Amino acid sequence: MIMSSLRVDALTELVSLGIGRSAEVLNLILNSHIELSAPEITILDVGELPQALKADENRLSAISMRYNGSMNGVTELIFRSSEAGKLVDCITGEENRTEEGLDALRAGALCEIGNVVINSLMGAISNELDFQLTYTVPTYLEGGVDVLVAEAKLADARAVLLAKTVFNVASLHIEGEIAVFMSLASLHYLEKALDAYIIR
Amino acid sequence: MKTEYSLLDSMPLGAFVVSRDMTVHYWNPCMEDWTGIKSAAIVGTVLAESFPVFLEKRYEARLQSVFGQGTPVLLTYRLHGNLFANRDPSCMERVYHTTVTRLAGDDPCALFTLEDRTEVSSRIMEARQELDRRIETEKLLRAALEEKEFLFKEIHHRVKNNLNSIISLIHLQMDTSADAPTQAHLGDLEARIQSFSLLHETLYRKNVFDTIDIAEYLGIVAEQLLESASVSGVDCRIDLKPVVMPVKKALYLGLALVELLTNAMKYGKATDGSTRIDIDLVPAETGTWVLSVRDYGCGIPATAAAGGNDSLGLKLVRMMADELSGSVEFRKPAGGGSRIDFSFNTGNVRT
Repeated sequence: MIMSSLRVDALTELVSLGIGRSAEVLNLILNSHIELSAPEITILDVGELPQALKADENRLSAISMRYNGSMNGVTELIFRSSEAGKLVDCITGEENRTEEGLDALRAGALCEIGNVVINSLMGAISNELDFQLTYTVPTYLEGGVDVLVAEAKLADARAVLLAKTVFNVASLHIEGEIAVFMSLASLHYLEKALDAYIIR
Repeated sequence: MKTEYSLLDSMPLGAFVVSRDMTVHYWNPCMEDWTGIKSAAIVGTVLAESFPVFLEKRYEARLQSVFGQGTPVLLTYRLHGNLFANRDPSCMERVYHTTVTRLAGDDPCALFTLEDRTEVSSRIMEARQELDRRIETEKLLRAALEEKEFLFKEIHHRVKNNLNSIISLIHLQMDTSADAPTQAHLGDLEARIQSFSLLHETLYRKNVFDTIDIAEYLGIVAEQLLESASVSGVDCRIDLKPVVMPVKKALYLGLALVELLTNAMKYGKATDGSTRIDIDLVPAETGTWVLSVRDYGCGIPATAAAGGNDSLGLKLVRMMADELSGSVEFRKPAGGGSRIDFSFNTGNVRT
């Protein structure tokens, strides 16, 4: 899926703004200092997601929040499950556990981290582009890419804005992906809003 | 008194409502039980008066997004601990998962819902402790296994060295004896002990202690015996199919092969003076294998085939066959010579 470089630049600016805010909030909440790197943005068809996320990674952990209003879709913060566990343990100051997957308590903590990041990101986009959005409470997903895509398809999403983000906490560098799934109508709405934002 | 939030009274969740200035407008019965604060005491007051933690900037920042953008906010036990601890310190600490959502309206309010996850949390902690115990036990077992393997290896090494010392003593005795029959007996004895030594050497080298590839072991025994034999110019063809068996069986088979091969070297000389021997190890019926040694000499005496007047060597072969639930067959193949088929069972070994 192709988006003009001007629009991509504008979107990168908005996503960076949201990521920056989420880092500020996370630093307020957490004991550890956390930095989030500037993201790389791509717009994809949902079918291209498995390749972009390296589909062989069949153990993924994601925090998912649906949004509705000016745009409709789902936003997910995605990690490899092992990396997600490391992030939670580092942030909560617990000894790194080796078991696969996250128990309910660790998943809950990851949900809150995702909640902060997604709120800040979607907040930045909706504030700057004057969107009116409502959200569902965050939920935790675990499984292969198909599980993440199935959640997006429930929301009739066809396009996805993918932003690679690195969480730097203590000596850890944990890569995550923020995926904003949206319907084609929502993508067109976003493009128009970006055009208005650019000439503002 | 019935209020617009009365629907939340019977919810099995803690629920309360605050306005933008954090004044409490509703406090459900579950919250009364969990915190020990009655609705009448908290409604109309600012939440931070009862829970000062909400004066901290981090909560202000989070809750701002609820009132501002309408985004729901999670406050989890792992990151915040128990935000709504009971006034009575003797009450058990509970684990709450708190979700804050905006209630639409002209004057937006925030609904806090608290889900009690104490039981789930306890189960997780118990499971973790059990997992940690198992990981620790596994580490101890691995260490014990490594030590056991090291000790087994050491034992095989020492047994092999001791057997080699015995072989050396027998060899010295042979050198000092001028009597040919005595030398022959001592040579046979040396070969038998050599087969034991080779087994321990193979186990030590392979770092395995309970099973062994019989083909590999018998191949080593045959080569060693052919090298050390006094008979020169022996043309020996060896075809052994691989089969893994318990060590004890290997010991019996090694000894049987020594006897059969020694016998073939002694009596298998053809009329043209050459000595040709075939050794085969092949599967027969289910669970049964056959070790056969064929020579091209003058053939087996009828008394030996009938089982009468056996030499010590053939007696040993029959004993080994019994130990392995097998049998010994003497055959006269077409083309001359003789063949002894030593069949044995690969199932349970008689102990």
